[in-house]
Amino acid sequence: MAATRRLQKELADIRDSGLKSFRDIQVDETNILAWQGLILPENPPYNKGAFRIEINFPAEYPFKPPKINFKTKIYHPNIDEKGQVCLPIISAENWKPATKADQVIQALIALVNDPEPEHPLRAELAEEYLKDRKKFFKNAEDYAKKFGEKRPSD
Amino acid sequence: MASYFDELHVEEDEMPTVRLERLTRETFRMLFDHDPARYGDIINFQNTPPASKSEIEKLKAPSFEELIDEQCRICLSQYQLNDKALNMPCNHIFHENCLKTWLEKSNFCPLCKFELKTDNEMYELYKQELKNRQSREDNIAQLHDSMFS
Repeated sequence: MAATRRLQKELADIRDSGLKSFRDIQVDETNILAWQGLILPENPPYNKGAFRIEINFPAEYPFKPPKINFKTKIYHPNIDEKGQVCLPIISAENWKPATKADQVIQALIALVNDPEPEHPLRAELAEEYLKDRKKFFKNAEDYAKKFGEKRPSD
Repeated sequence: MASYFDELHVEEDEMPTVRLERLTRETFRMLFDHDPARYGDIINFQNTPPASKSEIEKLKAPSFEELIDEQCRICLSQYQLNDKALNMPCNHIFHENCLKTWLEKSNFCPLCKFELKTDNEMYELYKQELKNRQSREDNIAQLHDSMFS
């Protein structure tokens, strides 16, 4: 399967590159189409926790885009209660096969670091983000501390 | 008295097929003015149509030198001796099989989104309409600048 060979390569490259913001990558040997990993945003308020995500690649990858899901609850205008995230780079109309998984992950981390309240999945959080930044930061930080995983210290 | 044909700005001998095409174009133009997003939905341009077969057949193979130490950006493997590859008009090279699999689904370059022609008339009309609109806007902007600067 074409997807398998490309993903083995991409996974090896990502592991070799030693990304600090995406680590603890776990892939089941029997199914390379499903990845899990921990993202470590740098910007407050999300720099208080680590967030586990799941990346699911379709069998038709790279002709179809992967899907991303948050396994860790997060207080974010662009990520809903079910952990679904709206990331333009992997939407059906923007996807192109030359886009690599590490670009997708970088785009995701950038979105977590800098929310885009103009295209929210959770309108009430976007509103709070725009109107009462202090309160939003406090809520997001409480969430990150309560539900987030521990950040590796190195 | 103006004839029926004059009144509707139609050539008397307009062929039914030509007429249908013109009416389709006019209808779509109206729809486009009224609600561009919906127009997009109707022709479903979110999933762009496949490239036209004749366009795919026109693609040429790159020279052997162009493949040395390069990788196909679809499967991410390096070109091997005897690998078959194709060059897009935008000069991006991919394995023949990789590229054809993609172009049978979508009409654009997997790397830069350069578009090949499709066999989907509505999609082509839509693209033409977008282009016309853009050039009209450019003309107006140019006129404006020439008058006020």
